[in-house]
Amino acid sequence: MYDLPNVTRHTSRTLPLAMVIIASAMLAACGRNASADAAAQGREVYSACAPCHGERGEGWREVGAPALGGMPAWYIEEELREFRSGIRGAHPDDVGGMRMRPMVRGLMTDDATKAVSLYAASLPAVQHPVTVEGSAEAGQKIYEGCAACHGESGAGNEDMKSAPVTGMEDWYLELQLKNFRDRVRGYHPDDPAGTMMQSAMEGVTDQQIRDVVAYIRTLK
Amino acid sequence: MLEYYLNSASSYARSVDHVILLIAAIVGFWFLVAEAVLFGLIFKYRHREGQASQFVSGEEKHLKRWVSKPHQIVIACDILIIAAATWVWVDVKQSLPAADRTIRVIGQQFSWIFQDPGPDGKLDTPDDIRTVDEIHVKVDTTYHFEAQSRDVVHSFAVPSFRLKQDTVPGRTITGWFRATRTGTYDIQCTQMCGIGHALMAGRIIVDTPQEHAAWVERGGSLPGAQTKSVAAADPDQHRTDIRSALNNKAEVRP
Repeated sequence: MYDLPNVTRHTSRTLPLAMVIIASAMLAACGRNASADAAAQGREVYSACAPCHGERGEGWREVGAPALGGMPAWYIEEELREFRSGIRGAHPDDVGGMRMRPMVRGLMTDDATKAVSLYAASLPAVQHPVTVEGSAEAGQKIYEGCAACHGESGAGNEDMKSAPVTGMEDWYLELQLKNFRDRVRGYHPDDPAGTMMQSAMEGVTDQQIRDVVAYIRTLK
Repeated sequence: MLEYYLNSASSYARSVDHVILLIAAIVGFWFLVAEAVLFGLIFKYRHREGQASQFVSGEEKHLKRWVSKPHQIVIACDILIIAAATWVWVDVKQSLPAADRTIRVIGQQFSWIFQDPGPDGKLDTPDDIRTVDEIHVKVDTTYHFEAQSRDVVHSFAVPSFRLKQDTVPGRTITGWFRATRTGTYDIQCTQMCGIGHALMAGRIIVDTPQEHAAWVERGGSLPGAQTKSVAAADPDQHRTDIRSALNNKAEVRP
């Protein structure tokens, strides 16, 4: 038989101590920086992205994963939103997109999407190798048509949801431009920016795509 | 009883279940017998005051029987199970009943692509309906499927159909199913195919003939919904348009 009064006395001594510890922990949690929390969450979620996009966001061409380092957070978040909702990556010919879409759909909430976008955007931009041959001179002329939305410097425009093309790898640019042209991307009724891009790409030849990619590569 | 616990929606689902049930019954019966013997002997030869323990080598004929007889019974049961399983295997995998309709199932990391023959009923014609992660089939219709893979080995599994077929890069593997109950059923890749394997899921929707005809008529799109199926099915029409448009433009260019 155990001694009930003793237990009661024991509890009455330890309870206030426990309360102080719990209260201190709660205060400490409240005092933490909210953005630090988001960064920690972003890093955690990014562990699912790293196998393809690289620990440092450097990308991996062989699996169709573009580099993320140096991309603005709004752009990454927007693309993730499109993958999640099926606006992007649900076409039978979009091999890379279909690989990406289930990953996004299965792993993320709105908060996680935002956090991982911020984290990926914080990764360093890297110099990409030249993999697409084209004439930057010819491309410059073609780019005049693109500059209205994507900017002279190719920095993109958040309000118009036009992608920041500077800093993207050339193979990725070429592939996506072809996807828009071939209606593998930008076909969804809920994707006005994509639709606009698709009509802009109508009738553009492979050579013209390579040329404009070569020109975009020269932009800083 | 099985029907209550297990969703089954194909013509061979029940026969697969019966093989599993047969194995469970045989194994379950002998499990109980073996446990009864084990605990019975433990009880029979329990410690008693004044009784010395004895060493049993197990070499005498009457002792060896405890091993050899169960062994023979196990082999007989194995033969029974193999015979039943072969019977079902031949029905599901070795025989190929004539197809009413043939679809193509293509696995890629980490999505399923489906190709329905469309209104003309022939694959690889312009009216084919291509969808991603979702396919409509007609109830009580024998389907052949041509399983392919774009990258690595996947497995096209529809648990409610008791259907499981690997898709192997470079090969076209033909199989069949006949859905017997309308409804929406899960598809899950069951061959470890990469980091997104667990997320490689899809849906197979078994329609009534009227619903299926309407689906084919719509070109695969779902009524009023801007879903991936709409997106997946429609652009192919545009693709042909844009190709001809490009060809026309190419002609006028210097």
